[in-house]
Amino acid sequence: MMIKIENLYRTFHHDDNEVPVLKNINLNIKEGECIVLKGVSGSGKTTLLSLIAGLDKPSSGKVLIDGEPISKLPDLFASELRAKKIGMIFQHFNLFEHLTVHENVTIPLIPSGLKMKEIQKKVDRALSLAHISHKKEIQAGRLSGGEQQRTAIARALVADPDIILCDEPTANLDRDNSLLFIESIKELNRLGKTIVIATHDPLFEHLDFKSTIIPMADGKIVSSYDDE
Amino acid sequence: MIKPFVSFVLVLILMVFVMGSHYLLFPHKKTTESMLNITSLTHISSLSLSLSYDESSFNRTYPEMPTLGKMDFLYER
Amino acid sequence: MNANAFWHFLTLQLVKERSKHLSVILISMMIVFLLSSVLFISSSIRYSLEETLKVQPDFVVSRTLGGTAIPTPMAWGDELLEIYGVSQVTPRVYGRYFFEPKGKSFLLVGVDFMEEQSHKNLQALIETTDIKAFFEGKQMFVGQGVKEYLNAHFYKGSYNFLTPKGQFENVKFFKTLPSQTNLISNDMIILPLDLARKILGYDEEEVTDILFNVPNTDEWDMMTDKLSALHYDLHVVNKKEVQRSYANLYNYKGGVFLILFLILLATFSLILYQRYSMVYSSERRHIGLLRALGWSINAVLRYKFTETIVVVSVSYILGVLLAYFYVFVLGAPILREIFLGGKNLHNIVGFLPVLDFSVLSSIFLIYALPFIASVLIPVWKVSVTDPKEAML
Ligand SMILES: Nc1ncnc2c1ncn2[C@@H]1O[C@H](COP(=O)(O)OP(=O)(O)O)[C@@H](O)[C@H]1O
Ligand SMILES: [Mg+2]
Repeated sequence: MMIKIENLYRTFHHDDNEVPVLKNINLNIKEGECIVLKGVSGSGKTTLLSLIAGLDKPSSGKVLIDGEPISKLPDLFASELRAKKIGMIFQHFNLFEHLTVHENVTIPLIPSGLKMKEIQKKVDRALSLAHISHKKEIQAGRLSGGEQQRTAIARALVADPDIILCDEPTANLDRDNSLLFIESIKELNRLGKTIVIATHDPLFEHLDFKSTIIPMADGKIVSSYDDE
Repeated sequence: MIKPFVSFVLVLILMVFVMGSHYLLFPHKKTTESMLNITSLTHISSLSLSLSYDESSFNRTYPEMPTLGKMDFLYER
Repeated sequence: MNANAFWHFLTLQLVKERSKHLSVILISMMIVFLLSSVLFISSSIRYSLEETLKVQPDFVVSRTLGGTAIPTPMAWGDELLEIYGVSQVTPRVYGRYFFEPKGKSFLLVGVDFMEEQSHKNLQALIETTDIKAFFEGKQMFVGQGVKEYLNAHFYKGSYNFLTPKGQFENVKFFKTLPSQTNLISNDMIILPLDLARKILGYDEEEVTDILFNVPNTDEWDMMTDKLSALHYDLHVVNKKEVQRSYANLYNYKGGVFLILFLILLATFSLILYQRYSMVYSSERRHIGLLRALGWSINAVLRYKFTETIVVVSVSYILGVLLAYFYVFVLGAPILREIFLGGKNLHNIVGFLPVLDFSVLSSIFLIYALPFIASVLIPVWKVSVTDPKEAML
C-alpha cells in the first residue's frame, strides 16, 4: 500500500465551536493508482490532501506513507519524507513569480544536500518531462496559466517522488490547458507515479486511462470503490 | 552564490579595504606629535571650539572647563 | 544541506527580491551611519584630548577677585618653587582677543621663544622655519581658522591689534600653524610673550595663570591646602578635577547618545514592525510553500536567518563605511558644527581617524539583535505552525 488512511478525523476549532471537516476517512491507495477525489467546494478535499502531505495534523486517526506515519513523525523526518516521496501541485500554481521557470524548479532540491550540478541535471529532466524546457529562462510571473501549471508539474517532479498530489489543478486553466494537464497526468501515471487529484472539474470524470473516482461530501467518502 | 551577488560582495570588500588602507596609511603619529608639540609650546590643551566666547560666563570652579550653563551640549565651551 | 546550493538560492532570492530588501537596508544603513558618525567624531576628539591631557600640568593657579580671574603676579611662581615637591613651574599668558566688528574672537597665546623647549617644539611644528627671521620685527603664528577669517576681512599680511591703552600694534603673519593641530590651534594666535602682554593688557610682572607639576600624586590633596593658605585670592585647580570634569562630560555625552539611540531604535523597530506586518501574509505563504515543497522547519529557519544576517551585515558595513568617509575623509560637514560649534571661526578641523572596535561591535550588537529578533520571531512562529496555508 502506498498511502493508507485509517479512521482519519480532522476537526477545526472556531472560538468555542467545533467544526468537523473530515469524519472517519478510510482509504487505501496502491502504488501506481490514479485517484480522483471529487466533491463540491468545502467537502474537505484540500484538508485531506494536506493531511496526506503531512502539512496538517489529524485530530485522530493516521496517514501512512509507505508504512510510515507521516502525521506522527517529527518535522525533520516528515519533511524528508515529503521531499523524497511527495510532489505537490496547487490550484494557484504557487510559483515564486520573480524567479525564472528553471529557478523555481530547483527549490525542492535546495535542502537535499545535492551539488548544484546534480540539481541542474534533475531540473533539466523535470523540465523536459513537463514540456516547459523552452521557457526555462522566463520569469514565472510572465508565463500563461498553462505554462505556470507545467512549471508547477516540473517542480513536483524534480525530486522524482512516487506520489503526486494535485489540489484543483485545473481550476485556473482554460479547457485546452486542462486537457493538456490531463495528458501530463496520464504520462506521469504511465511512469508509475501514484496520483491523487482533488477536484470538482467534470473533465476528470471520464479519463481515458485507469483511474478511480472517490466522491466526497461533507467530510466523508460517500461510497468508495477501493475496498477489496 | 550567484554572480551579481559575488560582485556586490567584492565591491563591499574593496570599499572596506580602501577604508582600511586610509586608516593604516593615515599619519597618526605625525598628527599626534604635532598636537603634542603645540600643547607643549603653548601649554594650552583645550579644544579650539568655535563658539562665541563670552567672558562673563567663566567657569569659576574649573577655569579650564566650560561653564555649567554651557555644558548643555558636548564639548561646548 | 549543501552549502553551495543553499547559497546559490539565498543570493538568487536576495538579488531578485532586492526591491523588497532595499528600503530596510537603506533605513538601517542610515541609522548605523548616524550612530557611527557621532561615535567616530566623539572617539576621535576624545582620543586627541586624552593624548594632549597627558602633557597637561598637574596644577593651575590663578588670582581671582570676586570670582573673576584677574592677572596673576609672577612672584607667585617663585613662591611655588619654594614648596617642596613642586616642579616645572610655568607661567602662561593668554586670553581672548575680540575682532570687534563681528564679535568673533581669537585665542592669543604668548610664548617665551627664548626657552630651549619652545625652540624645539616650534622647529618640530614648522619644519622649514628659519626661526631667526621670526624675531625680526613683530610677527605671529596663526591658526588656520584665524588666517582664513582675517584673509576674508582683507588682512593679508598683518593685523592691527588694539591694546587696552588705545595703541595699535601691527603684527605680521609669519606662518600658519599646521592643519593637523586645528583641533587645538584653529582659533589660536601665537606671539612673543611681551607682545602678548601688551595686547592683552598685562604688566611686565603679570601672567594669566601659573602651571606646575607635583610628581607625587599622594601630595596633591595636601598641596591644595598649602596653596590656598598662601594667598586668600589664589584659585587652584588640579588635573584630577579637570579629568573628572571631562569624564563627566563624556558620561553626559553617553547619556545624550543613549537617548538619541533609543529614539532611533524606536523608529527603526516601528518601521520594521510595519514592514513585517505588511508582508506578513506573503511571508506566511512563502514559508508554507517552502514547507510544502519539502523544506524542513530547520531549513526554512536557516534560510531566513542567513538572509537576515546578510541584510543586517550589508547595511551595517555600508553604514560604517559611509560614516568613515563622511567623518574622516570629508571632515563631517554639518555634524562637525554640532560638535565643535560654528559660531566663532569657521572650523577646519580634520578628525584623526580612530576606530574603536569595542564601539563598533557594540553598535553592531545593539542594532543587529533587535533587527534579527524582529524578523526571526514571526518567521519562527509561522514555520512551526502547520503550513496548510500554502494549499489555499
Ligand atoms: N484552518 C481552518 N480552520 C477552520 N475551518 C477550516 C480550516 N480549513 C478548512 N476549513 C473548513 O473545512 C472545510 C473543508 O475545507 P477544504 O478542505 O478546503 O474543502 P475543499 O478543498 O473540498 O473545498 C470548509 O468548510 C472550510 O471552511
Ligand atoms: Mg480546496
